Amino acid sequence: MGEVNFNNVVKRFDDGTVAVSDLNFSIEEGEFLVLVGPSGCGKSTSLRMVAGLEAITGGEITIDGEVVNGLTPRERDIAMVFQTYALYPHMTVEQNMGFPLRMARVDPEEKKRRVRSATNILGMENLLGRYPRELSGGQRQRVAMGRAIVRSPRVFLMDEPLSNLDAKLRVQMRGEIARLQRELGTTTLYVTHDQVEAMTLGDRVAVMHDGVLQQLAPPARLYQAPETVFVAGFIGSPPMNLCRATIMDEGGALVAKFGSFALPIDPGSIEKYPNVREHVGRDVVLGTRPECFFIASGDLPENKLVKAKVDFVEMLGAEALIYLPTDAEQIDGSTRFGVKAKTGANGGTEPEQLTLVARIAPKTVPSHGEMVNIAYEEDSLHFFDIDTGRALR
Amino acid sequence: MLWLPLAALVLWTMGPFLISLSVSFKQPAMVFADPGLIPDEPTLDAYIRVLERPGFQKALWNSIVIGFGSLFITLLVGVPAAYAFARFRFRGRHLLLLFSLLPMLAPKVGLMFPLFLLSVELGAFDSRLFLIFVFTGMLLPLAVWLLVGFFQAIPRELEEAAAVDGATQFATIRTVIMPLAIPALITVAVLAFREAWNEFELVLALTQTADSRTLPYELFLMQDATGIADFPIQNAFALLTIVPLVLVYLRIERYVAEGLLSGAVK
Amino acid sequence: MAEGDPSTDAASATRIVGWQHPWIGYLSSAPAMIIVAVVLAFPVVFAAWQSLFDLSPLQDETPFIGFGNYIDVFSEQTFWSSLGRTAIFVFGVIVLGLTLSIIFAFALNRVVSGLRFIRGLAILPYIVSSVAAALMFRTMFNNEFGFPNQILEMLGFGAIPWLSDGTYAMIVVIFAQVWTDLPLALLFILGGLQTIDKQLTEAALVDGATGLRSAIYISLPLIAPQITLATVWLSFKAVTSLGTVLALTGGGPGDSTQLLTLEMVRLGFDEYETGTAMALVIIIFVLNAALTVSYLGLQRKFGTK
Repeated sequence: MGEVNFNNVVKRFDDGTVAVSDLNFSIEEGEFLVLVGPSGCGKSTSLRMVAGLEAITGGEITIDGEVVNGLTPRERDIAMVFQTYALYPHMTVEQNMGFPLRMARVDPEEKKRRVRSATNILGMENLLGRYPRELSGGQRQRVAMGRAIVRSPRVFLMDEPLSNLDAKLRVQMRGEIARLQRELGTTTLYVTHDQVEAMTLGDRVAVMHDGVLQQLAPPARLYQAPETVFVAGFIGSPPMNLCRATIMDEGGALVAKFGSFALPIDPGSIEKYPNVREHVGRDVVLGTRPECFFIASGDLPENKLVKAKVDFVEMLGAEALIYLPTDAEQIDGSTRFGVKAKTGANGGTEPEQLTLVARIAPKTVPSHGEMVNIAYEEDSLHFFDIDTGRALR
Repeated sequence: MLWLPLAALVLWTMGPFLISLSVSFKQPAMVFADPGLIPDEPTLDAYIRVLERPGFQKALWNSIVIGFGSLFITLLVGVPAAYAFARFRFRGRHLLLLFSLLPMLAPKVGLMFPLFLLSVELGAFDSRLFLIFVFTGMLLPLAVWLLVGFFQAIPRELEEAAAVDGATQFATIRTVIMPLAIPALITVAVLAFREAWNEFELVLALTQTADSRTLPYELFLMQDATGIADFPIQNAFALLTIVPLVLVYLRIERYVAEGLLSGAVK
Repeated sequence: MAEGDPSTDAASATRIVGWQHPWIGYLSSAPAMIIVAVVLAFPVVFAAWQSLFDLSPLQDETPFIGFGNYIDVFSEQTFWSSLGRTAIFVFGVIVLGLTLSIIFAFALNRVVSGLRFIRGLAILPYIVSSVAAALMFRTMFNNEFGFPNQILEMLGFGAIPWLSDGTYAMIVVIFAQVWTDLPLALLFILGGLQTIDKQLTEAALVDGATGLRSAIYISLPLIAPQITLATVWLSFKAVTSLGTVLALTGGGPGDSTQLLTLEMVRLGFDEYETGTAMALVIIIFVLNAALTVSYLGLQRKFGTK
């Protein structure tokens, strides 16, 4: 029970703005699917369409094969955890959690039993008589979860449920949500703007941008093989270095030239992005992850190195970030390829120059102003079409 | 230096009350003979005479009927309207502003004469029912304006949560919205009832006999009826009309002050 | 569009929650709208229309005479003298009301929690009807046993004929009017003061401004909108005041407190000059609206916001 399908779903607001365009994907039974993206990307709207809080403009959403477009939230058998928790201020914890059962006219004894059992799962037996205003942020969050699970719905919907907690509590509750979902096995659609939450919680993660689904994949694949420049730039922290580069054929070996720098393209990378071969002599978007750089140890050939001057260093303890200014044109995945880029929202601004970020072991940290030779690991370069932003696969 | 303006404020506010109270406990003749603030021979005579007056009893009853009647209809009609203005999307929502400004644009004193002619035209002159209707129209802008603010302050998520939790729209209003709106409803009820209880101009214009006259008009008429000014009975009467409101008001002073502020005008 | 922000969401969202059919909105608000339209809006239109006819009693015809009634009103000496008295009355109410409400509001704003009940006291006059207030002032300003005169005599001054002298009667009427309407004006200004950032007054203190100067140069300009609001309120109540004056002086002594509103009642209810009374109603509406607009204009010109 609990398979959700999006078939060509469109959401257009009264004022004409398109929040979600042509969304197609399905959430498997029992799956934990995370919708992630920057604010305004349409992820919350998508969730609210499943909940029935937002009318569906086009296409259809089905739950267990049943089209729910015309159904009220009440008829959909779903539960939702809100960002603000939306606890009823005039009801105790017990009444809050029992509210869905009361609305379903569940017998009072049965209601009591189910509320107790949900309370046990969440470990808050001693809070039943309290009012929401007497609870801490974490406790409120728990009550909101309790209200969702008490009814054993077909689908859990969670709209940024952790964003109102402080950092430490957020990590703790993240773990609890993951555990709870595993135990209950209820299909879950979880919306967040936090990629760490997305990566740690999701069986699969759907990245949205400007109302368009960019990629839907398990977390590891999302990180290793981003489908678009946007995903590449969005997943990973610090984000992937993205710049304009030209593919050159130098005596049979392919080289990516960016600004006054050049990196040879290793066979492994070409295997992952075979289309690179078709782009010899043309511009592409080159992506390099900060953690794939390392300080060269001298025995590497000159052409595999990037020589650059360190602008500044951030020592983080377990690692260090070094910032290397380049003269290559930086590509911004969030503004360049979205709907807004086409309407010229970002037109006219000067192209920014890329400051290459490298994440290196803290042992050999160079100092400010020093020239360093850094090298790049094999088969970890990423290439995208400069016009469409799609991976060159 | 703070005590000076504060003392002035207390004196300014309480002075008229205290003097009125003092006079009301004197015999009519003693008002002139014993002008001190504390009566030499305090007596409840004036109060007894007021309570025994048929005019007072009738007016009191009329005030209660008309006050609660108009308050009841105001809430009955005003709550759905306020909820619609606060939550539903429909053309005419922008009328809310005009709606709430109308009492400023059309002050009561100007309505006296047209409404009087209307009541004569409808055969509704000197009728309590018509007064209830007119008072309702007078109270509604204030009530709706305040209630819209309260409804808007209730987070929309609560209603959405209720919907997801399986509540129908009606159940949401009954189990979530109304319980949360109770303090607001009490505040609005007190403020609206005060308007109705104290209304003078429209009663002056729309009534003629003791059958429909309310307390303020009766008090006004008594000034002439008593011939040589009978100050104790007049002040006792005035204080008796104020007492019920004061009792209610003292309990919820904080809400009233905040309610008045959020209402801004009126 | 910021996600998760219900207010911005709401503006553009088409929601399922809530009966979404527009007729539910119309249906829920219609009764209230209709009642208000009949009681508040219709009379205005009706008065405007009626004011264009000659509706004098004891005649069979009620001919349309355009602005004839207005011309009649304007040509009457009594209109101009009552307009003049109304002007004095309104001006007096605004000056006294604003002065008191500003002073009292500043004091209340500083009050420590133990004296909070004073705010409650200050609002008490709000729940007194205009007639009752007038009566209390009639008692208080009685020439023979009234307290002001007792005090004056105690200090060796002569008694003042408060209610039997035209000038003094106007003063008493102004006092009574301010007494009833001060609470709201006071609350407006107090509300404004409470929104002022404490850091601003503290900064002024550091910059060497003492209490009074800080109040004049920092606080007053910041609460200009609330002062305007209080002015609009006091003016509105004064222009449309009837019960207070009617019960306190009845327009006398002589006609020294005969305001426009009393003139209207006299024309309409005593002399049955329906057409001219209606014209006067419209003139009062217009006067009130014009004054309100001019305060808002003044604030826009000289105010901070």
